[in-house]
Amino acid sequence: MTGYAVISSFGNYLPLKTLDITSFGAPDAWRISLYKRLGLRLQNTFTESSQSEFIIDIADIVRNSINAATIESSLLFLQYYLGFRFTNPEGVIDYLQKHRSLYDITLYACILTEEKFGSHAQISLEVYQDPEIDDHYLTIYVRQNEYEPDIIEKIDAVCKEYESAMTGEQGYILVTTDFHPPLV
Amino acid sequence: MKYKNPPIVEAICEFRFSKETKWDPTIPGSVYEKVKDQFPHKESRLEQQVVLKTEETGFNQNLVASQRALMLSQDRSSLIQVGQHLLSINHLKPYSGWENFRPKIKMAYDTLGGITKINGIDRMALVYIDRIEIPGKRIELEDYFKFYPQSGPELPHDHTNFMIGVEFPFKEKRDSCRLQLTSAMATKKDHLALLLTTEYYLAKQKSVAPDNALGWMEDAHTQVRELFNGCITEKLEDLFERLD
Repeated sequence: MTGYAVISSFGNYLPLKTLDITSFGAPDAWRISLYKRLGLRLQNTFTESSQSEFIIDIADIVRNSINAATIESSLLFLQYYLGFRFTNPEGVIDYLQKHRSLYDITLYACILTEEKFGSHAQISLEVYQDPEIDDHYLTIYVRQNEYEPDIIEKIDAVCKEYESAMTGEQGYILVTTDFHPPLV
Repeated sequence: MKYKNPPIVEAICEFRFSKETKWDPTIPGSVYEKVKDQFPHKESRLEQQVVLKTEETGFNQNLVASQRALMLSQDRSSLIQVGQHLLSINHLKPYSGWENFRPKIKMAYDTLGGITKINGIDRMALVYIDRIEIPGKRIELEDYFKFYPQSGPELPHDHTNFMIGVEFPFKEKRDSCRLQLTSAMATKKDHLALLLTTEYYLAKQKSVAPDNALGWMEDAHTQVRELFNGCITEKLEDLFERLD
């Protein structure tokens, strides 16, 4: 069993926890990938035990259910530790609040995008509002100073990975680029 | 106290029932059939639960995945969640007050009680999450809060993200209330964003009978409101703009 064990520093509410990833079936295998990736992204920021606690916190592994605090915590993590930009944070928070079944997948899409482009692109999580119809959805924009010729192929590879987890979810998340320069 | 700009972004009422309460996979569907007029959108979400097993070597806790049914109102601003031995009623912003939240809790609780007999409550909680944004490039938290991180003179005065928390016992430790103040993401330029989470919960399993659960929730609401008032200063209240 691969696991993260932690004793919470805060009261008896979160006792020793072990993430038993063997309990996830094949359709949820992407979650294992998400938790492992979160661990990798955090390994230079936290000690191992703090890392586990942080993952459990933002990935909502033990909490009762997704709530406003979980969502805020995750977005702050994306902004503070992974350098994500938010042009309309209120819109993103509101969208995730109302489309909670999309929460984990959004986190997964963000992590995958950051892994692929983080060192050489600006990544922005926004809400796209279709100007013609009443439709809006989350969009992760990848923006570069000088666009790589194969950026679309790379984006497609990211989309392919997280879209397989989107089975019957309400709401939508898209990774794309508008070929604009990075936001100042 | 009523505010023009209330800070509440989410109110949560959660019940976790004891294993003596009979449960089967058809319960979420049965609940949905009875609430679908008010909560027409049905979704599901994978949740993780802690499972405690007693083994020869001691206690072993594992996290296992289970599906949770989400039933959302037409505007998705309120929802009912039904999971294994769990019922949760959430109200997002705009929060329209306890007088509107209370009937939703009662309706959901009574609906479930009509489908399966509730034989015990392991835990129940009332949680309020307040999102507060304070304008200013440099903010002294003590101007706005009576509950805030305080650091001694040998420590740096400036800080970025933080999280503080405390638990207050109530009713001779039968209940407990966890108060947390954490950093959040500012949605406006030159603002400081904070989340104040107040979670009042039943700390002793089965110490409240199922028939008294809604009365307990009423008391919990009173305590949560008093704690909130105890956390904030008049200067912060001015930002919310009092209506009465």
